[in-house]
Amino acid sequence: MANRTDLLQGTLDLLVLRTLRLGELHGWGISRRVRALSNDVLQINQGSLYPALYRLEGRGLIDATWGISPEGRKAKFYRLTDEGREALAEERASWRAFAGAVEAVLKGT
Amino acid sequence: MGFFGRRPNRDAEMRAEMTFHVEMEAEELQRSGLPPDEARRRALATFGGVHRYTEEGRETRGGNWRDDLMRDVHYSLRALRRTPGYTAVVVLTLALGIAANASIFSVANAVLFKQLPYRDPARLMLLWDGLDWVGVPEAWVTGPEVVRLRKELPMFEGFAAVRAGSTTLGGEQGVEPQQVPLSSVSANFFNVLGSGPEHGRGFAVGDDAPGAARVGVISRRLFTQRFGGDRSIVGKQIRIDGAPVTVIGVLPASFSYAPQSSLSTAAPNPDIYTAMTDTLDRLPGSQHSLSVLARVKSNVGVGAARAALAELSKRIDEETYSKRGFKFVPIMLQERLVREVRPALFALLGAVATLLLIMCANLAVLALVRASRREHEITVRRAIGASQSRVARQILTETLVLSFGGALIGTLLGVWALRALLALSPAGLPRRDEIGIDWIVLAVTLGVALIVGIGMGLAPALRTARSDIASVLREKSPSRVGGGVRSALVLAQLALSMMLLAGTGLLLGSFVKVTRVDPGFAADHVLTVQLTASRATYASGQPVLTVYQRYIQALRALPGVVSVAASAAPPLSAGADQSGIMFPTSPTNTGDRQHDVLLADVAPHTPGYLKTMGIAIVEGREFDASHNDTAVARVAVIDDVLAKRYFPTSSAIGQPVTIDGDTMRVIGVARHVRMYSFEDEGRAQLWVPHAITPYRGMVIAVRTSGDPLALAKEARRAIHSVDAQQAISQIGTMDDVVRDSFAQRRLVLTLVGMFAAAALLLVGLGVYGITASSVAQRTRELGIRIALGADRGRVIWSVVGQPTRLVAAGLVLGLAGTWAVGRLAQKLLFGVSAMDPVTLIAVSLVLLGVGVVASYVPARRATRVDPMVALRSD
Repeated sequence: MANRTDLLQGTLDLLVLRTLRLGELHGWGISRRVRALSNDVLQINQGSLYPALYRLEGRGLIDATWGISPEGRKAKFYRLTDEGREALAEERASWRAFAGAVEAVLKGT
Repeated sequence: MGFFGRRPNRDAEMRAEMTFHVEMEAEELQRSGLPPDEARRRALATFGGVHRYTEEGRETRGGNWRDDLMRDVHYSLRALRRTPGYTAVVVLTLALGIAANASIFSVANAVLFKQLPYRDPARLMLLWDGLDWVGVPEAWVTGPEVVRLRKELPMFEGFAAVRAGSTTLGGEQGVEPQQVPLSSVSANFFNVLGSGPEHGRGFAVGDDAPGAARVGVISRRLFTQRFGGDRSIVGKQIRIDGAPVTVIGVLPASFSYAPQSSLSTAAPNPDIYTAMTDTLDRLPGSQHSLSVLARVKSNVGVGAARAALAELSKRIDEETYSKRGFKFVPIMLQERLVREVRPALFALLGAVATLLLIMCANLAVLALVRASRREHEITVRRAIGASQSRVARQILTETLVLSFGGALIGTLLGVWALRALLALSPAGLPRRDEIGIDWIVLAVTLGVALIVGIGMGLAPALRTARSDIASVLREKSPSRVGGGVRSALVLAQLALSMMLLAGTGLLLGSFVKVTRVDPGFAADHVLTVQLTASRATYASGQPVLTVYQRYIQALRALPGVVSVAASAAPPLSAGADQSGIMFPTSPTNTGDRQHDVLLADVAPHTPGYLKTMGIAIVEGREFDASHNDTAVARVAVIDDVLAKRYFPTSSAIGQPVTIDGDTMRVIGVARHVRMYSFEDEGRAQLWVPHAITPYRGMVIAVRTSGDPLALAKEARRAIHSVDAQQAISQIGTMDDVVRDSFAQRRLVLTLVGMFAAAALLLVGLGVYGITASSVAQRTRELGIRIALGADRGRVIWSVVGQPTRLVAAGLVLGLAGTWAVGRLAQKLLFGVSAMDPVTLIAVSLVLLGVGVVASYVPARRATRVDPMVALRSD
């Protein structure tokens, strides 16, 4: 039952914000980058990705504009807003704290 | 982004974006070596349907409520179609509940709540003479009193006098004579009532003048059934009791005014109204014979009118009744009409509403379970951004879709249920013709559906919306959150069921007590034939007596007949007159008239009646053939109530008794007979020979050796062999009279019993469900305990303990509820107190039994858990 995708969805916001820190990307680009950065371990379920993007956009953490992709096609590009940057810093800190705590527990046994 | 114009753009953008995603994915797959088609197919597959996500994306952002509603309804329908079992159970349960509710409410609505079909009905009241000192709180009014009311109370628009009876209609060529109910009314009757004929006219001033040509208004029923709906009947003459009466008007089908007798049994709706000759002032002041309908003027408050009435009462009490406490008793017409059925209808409304509440709680539990099964799906929706309120609204939409589906089917079923209900309801049900499923019933049903839908969805909606996403995602099995809510819902069901069950028990106890009452007569093997000897054929006095003797002789000659006799007031007929009687030689007399005179039921009967009706003779003898002779007939039979009261230690036989001043000699003492109903002991009784008061309207009782009804046809023929023109009002068995007298009680008991049985089933399912799911959740723990050698009994108790405590709590709550309800329903109970310990203990045991069985079944399953399986199960 332990579903990797589910676990990911909880931290999806963090991953999206993190990939956008390096610059603007379209949705497909985001999902590819997450896969690449995690050495193919983390796969974003596309069905979760777009709703998450709209939600983040709604909260004002990311901005979207239509542009032309490197392949020469019309695509929607997302980038971090200033608020998004702050939120990323916060979430990262709390994630680290959480991960550290889990690690500490694991070492303890 | 909430405004309309942007929506299509936004959707198109999302679609474009996702199409782009799929194309990119496909291209990459193609680059890795897949053929183009396959690459596209797989890209689409991993995406999982562009449309679905645009939809969920939109949901995430929220939108305008109408779009949301449509989408939620669609979504609910889709979800419900995936679980047809759940949907069918819920919709059908609700349909049954709502059908019961709608049909009973239709009756209550028409009978209790709807305005009467007269002009400004809230200003109509009936007036009675309150003669408490003789034990008659509601007596008919006298003629002179009506005259004074009219003269001295200008705040009333009018006072109409009504005298109800029946008459023989006939004499036209070749038409069988017919006994029909008739009301003789003062000329202002239709004006005061505020309703009248649809063809022709009502009564006018002059119609009631002494010596004026007699005119009549006929009912729609008579108009269509007897006169073929031919309007030319207006202006023609018909014969009433042989005398010509000109028809001046025909009433509409909706017209209904059941005359109220002072004795609580409502008479049938009259088929003919005739104008009462206006000689009210000449009627004797001692003759209480008129039912009075009054209308308060529209510019006067009803309260002020009542006060003026009380004033006049005081004056009349001084002038006419030498201050014995006379008063006019005003009762609003609407209130009076429904007085007899109100407690029963309220009890039924309460019972059906209780059942609906139980259903609602039961379905709320089902919805809760369903929501927890869908927890994962819902959590994912929340994770991708659906707000709490969106999810809650979605759950509520689903339960509302279910409840409205139930309401739709329920209303259709309700039409049918109403028909069954009316077929079973007692004949005396007032305003029966007005009962139907109208828009008020529909509106209330819709309201009920709304409340039920929200009621059953509220708990799961709140819980799911509140639940913490992370904790649900981390947990492996469906969470146990909500156990508290669920227990509370089951507890509510238990308490409400207890109330319904206790109500059924008390009603059943009352029913048994009522049917076990010794009514003082033997109803079996008795056929009764109700007749009125026509005024046209038989002059008053001896001719009437003679024709009855001939009818009795003709009937006696039939094979299978044991005995025949006639009475003006057979048991349960409420047909007796009331007279003040006293025994001049009684040792209990004090000389104070108020103490010595008693108001008793007085009725004439023919020789052999007591034997025929199976009324036991305690002492002395009953009338014999010699008492058909008016010269020797000055005798009376009294009941044992009178005998005990006036001659507690000596014999009443041979003693004189005065009836309204007339003196008779007591020749027999008979058992007291129930004259009004099994419940009501009624007044003391005194019987006189038919020869003394040769009434035209009598009921002939025929005791048979075989089935009495088999004799009905021959009885009819025997009577017509004496007089072919004799109208027969009614023919039937005494057993049926007895059965009909229980009709209302039986109907209420049957319905409440059915509701209680349904409640018991629901509550059993509720307890079963709560135990079963606790067993399911604790499989591993129980397995371990058994593996470690725990005693099976203790394991069972650890499972059954909680539901048993729940049932016990439900019983206590239910008892409290029963106490409250029992006090309200006191009027329906007979011979049992609202807190009858035997009933309550029996009912508690039944509920406890259901609770124990419902929890024991799943608990036993727990002990059969194979420890190895349990340990491996996750």
